[in-house]
Amino acid sequence: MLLVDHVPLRLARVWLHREKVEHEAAAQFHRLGGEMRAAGLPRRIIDLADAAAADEAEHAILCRRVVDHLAPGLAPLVPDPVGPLGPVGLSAGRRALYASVALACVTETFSTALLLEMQRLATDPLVGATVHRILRDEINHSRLGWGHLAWAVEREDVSWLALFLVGMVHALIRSDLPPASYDDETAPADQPGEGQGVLSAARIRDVATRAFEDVIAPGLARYGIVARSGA
Amino acid sequence: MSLDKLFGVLVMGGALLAVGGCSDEDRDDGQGPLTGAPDAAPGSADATPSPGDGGELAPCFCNVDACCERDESGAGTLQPGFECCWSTTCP
Repeated sequence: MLLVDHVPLRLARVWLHREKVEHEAAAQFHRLGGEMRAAGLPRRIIDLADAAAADEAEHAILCRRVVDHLAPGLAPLVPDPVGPLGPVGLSAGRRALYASVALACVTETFSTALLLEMQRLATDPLVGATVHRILRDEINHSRLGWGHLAWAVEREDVSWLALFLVGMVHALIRSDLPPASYDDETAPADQPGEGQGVLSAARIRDVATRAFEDVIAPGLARYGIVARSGA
Repeated sequence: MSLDKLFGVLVMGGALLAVGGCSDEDRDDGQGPLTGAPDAAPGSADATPSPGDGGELAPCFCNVDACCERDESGAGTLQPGFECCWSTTCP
């Protein structure tokens, strides 16, 4: 009985964390749009970054609705401050490209893959509608990074990004993936939650691995970016 | 859509952003469009989309520009005379 009572709160806390991550993503895409302007990117790509910032802010509102649906009254978490991504000393163009690859090619591609799985498993109508809406936007957010990369590779060698690929993935695993699952790794595998958009840790590992091996790694390799051992 | 299709949808779809549909000469350098026209280039955020002349479709960022209209169900529909460029879709 105690477990049943705690389940909605545990699920709501996952969505609560997603609400925070969405706010942070909005700030990151807003920053990316500014970096793209500084780097003189085509307006069509900048527009997509600006649109992504607005989308992410909307996603935070959608996540809040799910939080209130599952466990009303949980106070929002305070988003972490957003700073420039990547190592110091990058040119404006490389700074923007690093951020696009980290945010869009890596993070948004992982997110799209996870949302596809959440959509497949969702049974709660509000959760299903929310996941569907966010998924639609995340596809465009991911494309913006791949589009930026395709545009950049026509103008310069982008293989320098290979040095940072492992770090990008590790940062994602540390910051963004945990909120997608139960925070308690000891939770039983058949614990309810996937119908409410909260995947098991094992399923997340499986989907994330497939996303990296089938999409991100070959996508980056297409542009000469191959993860280097020990990077 | 399944995970198996993500490479095509994301990586290849994203690549179309760099090569397809609309002008590549719309750098946001503060000097306006490079075409010399007083108005923004078609497809840019500043452009007011309008149907093309002579049967041509006007390119449009369907996710940000005003070339889509909503029906009673809330679904977005592309207005006649426009085409969605760079893989964008009506929200």
